[in-house]
Amino acid sequence: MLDMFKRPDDPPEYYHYYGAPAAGAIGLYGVGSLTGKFPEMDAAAATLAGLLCIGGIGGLASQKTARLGAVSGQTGVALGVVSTMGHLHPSFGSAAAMTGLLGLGGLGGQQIAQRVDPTSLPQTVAAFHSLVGLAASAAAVGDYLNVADTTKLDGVHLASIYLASVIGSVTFTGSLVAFGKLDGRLASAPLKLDYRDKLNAGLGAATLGAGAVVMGAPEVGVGMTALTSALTSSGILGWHMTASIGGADMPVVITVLNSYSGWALCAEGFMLDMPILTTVGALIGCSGAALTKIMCDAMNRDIISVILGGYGTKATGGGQAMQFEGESTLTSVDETVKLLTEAESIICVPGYGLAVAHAQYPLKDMADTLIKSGKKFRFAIHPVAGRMPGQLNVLLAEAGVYVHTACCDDLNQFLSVCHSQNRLCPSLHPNFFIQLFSLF
Amino acid sequence: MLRHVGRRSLLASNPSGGSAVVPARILSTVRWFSSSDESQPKGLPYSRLTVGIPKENFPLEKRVAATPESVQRLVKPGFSVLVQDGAGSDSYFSNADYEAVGAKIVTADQVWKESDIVLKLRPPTEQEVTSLEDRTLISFLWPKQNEALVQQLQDQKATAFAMDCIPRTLSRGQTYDALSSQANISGYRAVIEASNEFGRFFAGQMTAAGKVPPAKVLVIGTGVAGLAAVQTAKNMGAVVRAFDVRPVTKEQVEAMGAHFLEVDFKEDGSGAGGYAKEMSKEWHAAARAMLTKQCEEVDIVITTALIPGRQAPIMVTKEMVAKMKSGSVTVDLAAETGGNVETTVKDQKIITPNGVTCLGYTDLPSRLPTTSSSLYANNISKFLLSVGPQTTKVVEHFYIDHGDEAVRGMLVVEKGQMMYPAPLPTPPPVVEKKEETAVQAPIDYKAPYVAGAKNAALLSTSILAIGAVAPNAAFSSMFTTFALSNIIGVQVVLGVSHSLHSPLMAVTNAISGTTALGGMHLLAHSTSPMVTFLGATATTLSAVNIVGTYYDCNRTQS
Repeated sequence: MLDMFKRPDDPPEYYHYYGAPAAGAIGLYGVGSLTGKFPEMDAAAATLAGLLCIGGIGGLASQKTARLGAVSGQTGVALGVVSTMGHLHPSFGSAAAMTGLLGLGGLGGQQIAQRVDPTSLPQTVAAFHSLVGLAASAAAVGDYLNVADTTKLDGVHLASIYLASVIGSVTFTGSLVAFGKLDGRLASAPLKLDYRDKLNAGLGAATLGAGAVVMGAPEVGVGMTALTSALTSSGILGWHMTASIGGADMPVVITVLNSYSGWALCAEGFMLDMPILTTVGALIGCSGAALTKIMCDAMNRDIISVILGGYGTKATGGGQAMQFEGESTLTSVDETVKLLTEAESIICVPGYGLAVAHAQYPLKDMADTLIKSGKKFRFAIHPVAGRMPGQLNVLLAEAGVYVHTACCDDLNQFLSVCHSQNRLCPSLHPNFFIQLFSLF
Repeated sequence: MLRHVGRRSLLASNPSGGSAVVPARILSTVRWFSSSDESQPKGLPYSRLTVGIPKENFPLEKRVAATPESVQRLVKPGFSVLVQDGAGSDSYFSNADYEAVGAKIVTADQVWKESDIVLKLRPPTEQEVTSLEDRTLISFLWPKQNEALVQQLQDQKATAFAMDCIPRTLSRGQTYDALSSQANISGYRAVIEASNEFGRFFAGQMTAAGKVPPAKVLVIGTGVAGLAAVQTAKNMGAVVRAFDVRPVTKEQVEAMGAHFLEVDFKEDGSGAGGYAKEMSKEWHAAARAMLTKQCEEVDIVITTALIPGRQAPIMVTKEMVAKMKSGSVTVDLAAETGGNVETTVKDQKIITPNGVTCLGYTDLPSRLPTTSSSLYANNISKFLLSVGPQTTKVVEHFYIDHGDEAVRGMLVVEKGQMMYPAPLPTPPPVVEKKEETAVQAPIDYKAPYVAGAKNAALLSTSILAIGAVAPNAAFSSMFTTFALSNIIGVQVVLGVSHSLHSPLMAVTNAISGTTALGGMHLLAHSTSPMVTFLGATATTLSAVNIVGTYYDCNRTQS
């Protein structure tokens, strides 16, 4: 994805030079750990891994540093794996098993990634989120089972196990539903069961009830039952809540699930006493939350209303719909072409339709033609455009469009707007005359 | 061979009632519509109607009610179009141009006698109305000022629409609003004529040979014409001031970069329908005082003050003109209805003893005949095409529907029945805006501080509470890590560029593969096969995640 943002005239990059210090660090740590003389090196390596992960996100502050950020993140994860191995000092069999499993999973991941094209990015991200949720739940349940005497667990440990499994479960089922909706396997329209709110409340209560049981530090049998029931009810809740949200709101759902997966990871960190998991989990959790906030602000809707299944939107609201003033005029392709050739400044606001129609290349050609004839042509990407945050940026980057305008705040001139999205930015300045051409 | 047949059918769909003599032309080709026959579309199909465009013979009038473009617009859905020989020649549209789009060139007599619907610009003469007989006419009519004409139309049982009676507050009506389209042109042309007579540049200049000050332009009346004049003068570089009895236009004027002049006397001149109303004597006195002072300063005065149906008010008296500088120019757009400037002579240019040129041209739109004809032709042809289809949704059928606000408003006479003026929709009462002594809610300056203090208290208490229930040192240090990670996370994420949100999702996905560490932990410390299985699952799935998103993240262009 990041390579798509590379312009043909960018200076050559030599990121593979970073391979040297990365390999060096891993090697150095490996050697130090094997000698057994440096017991605290594990913690240091884990800290370094955490810092590298932070750098992974920090690098995304600009296009220039983005690829460095990716390198940093990858090194961080690699070092994290290695440092954990070192810290655990597993038996040879375990070590072999771990390596084997990692390799197997890696191969699977590579195969899946090969088959993804940019328009399937949202689904892929959603699907991978489900893996995170499942892994977190599995690890949590496994840890619970692994404990010698569950009655002796302290509150924090119990809480982390419970939270990790429940959040992981919600993330798992929710992401699967999101994947289904985005991939077209499930209906995009929100599922509107009659007892929707009662169902959600009931499931929530069941999950909390089971949690209370778990927190009471019962015997492993009772505890497992409670935990399993919590997993089930939260899983159904995750499925139901996501199914009740319309397809167009999926970008927000994905960021919310992204955030959840982060908090599950955090809980796991508390559970296993591994700071690196807490750090990375907090990073992911905040990332998802920040993106969610940006998108809800752009949609001018409350996050609660989005999560609770479109409450307050056309889907559920009663009363009179907002009266729109003015008229929409049907225009033709010829007329649009005429107006575009006469305009001086054009802003294009692309939407999901562009991705579905695979029209990014023809659009780039059109933009080039217009720019060559001396017009100003820019793109404005709405934060909630597409089905995943930033999807349109990637799409346009694939076609070779690198310069993007930030959203609505910059649309403050008299201009002609080409608009293929069915959502108008609510913060558009009301006083300026804009000709909007919607392509349906 | 006129017969009183077809009456029932046409009247059934026509609530205006009254006896109607159906013109022979329509009668001979119309089918019987029974009033209970719901499957028959309402109205008369275009294919059976002929539209006629005569040449305007009003003195100095160069415009025409149809251009080749608008004729094509009418021919396409099925109208037959007759154009008088040479109708468009003054607007630079030749007969050949009309014929090329499907019109037939005929004599004047034929246009009036053979058309079902005549499209015209200026009100018709008595003779022309006689030729019209009982057919339909659409044109500027000024029913209040042309009562004899309207009476003649009634006597002849004709149908007439007035293009000057468009309801001004109907947003759809802007397409048919010929008053605005022509006023826009008048306003522009007024400035051109003024600059033609004026002895200086409009825009100021500093040249080596000397300084030329910019022209100062005063526009009185900021309706469509006034605003067009303001815009044009501003475009040419003048310093523009504008004045109107309606304070709401201040915003529009200032948006164009001109200065809006205020009168010391407070009175709102906004009347119903967006027009101005008559002002009180006191207001006039205060306005006059202000304008007199302006006249001493400005170089060009353009007046556009009109009151519908009445004589135009005098805004600039002889005395005020006498105070103007030599070389100044006044342009009076209200010359036709009496003039706003006392020294105006209709249709003429005169120069006062103190050297002020006063223009009283009434044919300003005609001086841009091609454009004004195009715009007028658009207005009238689009209106014609809307009569019927707009409300009945039946295409290509001409039908007078009283439920259509535009049609009803513009309908003056229908088959001899007087329909003017249309019953006004009860206007919202003009709310007396009392001088609001601002009863604003006092700004609570303390609120943000109180809220902030509450948040701070909540946060610090929660953290201390967590410390109170912390079971061991490990937890405490983990909590510290957690808290700091959150802060770092927020800061780092907010710095991510908007265009990189997708890679952000990918990177966070990749690092969430650290769930592998949890799985590995379990594998290493497993005490049962179940745990081993769960650990293995966690590890494998995480690896899929890590590698998969690694590839996604670094994907090259395909």
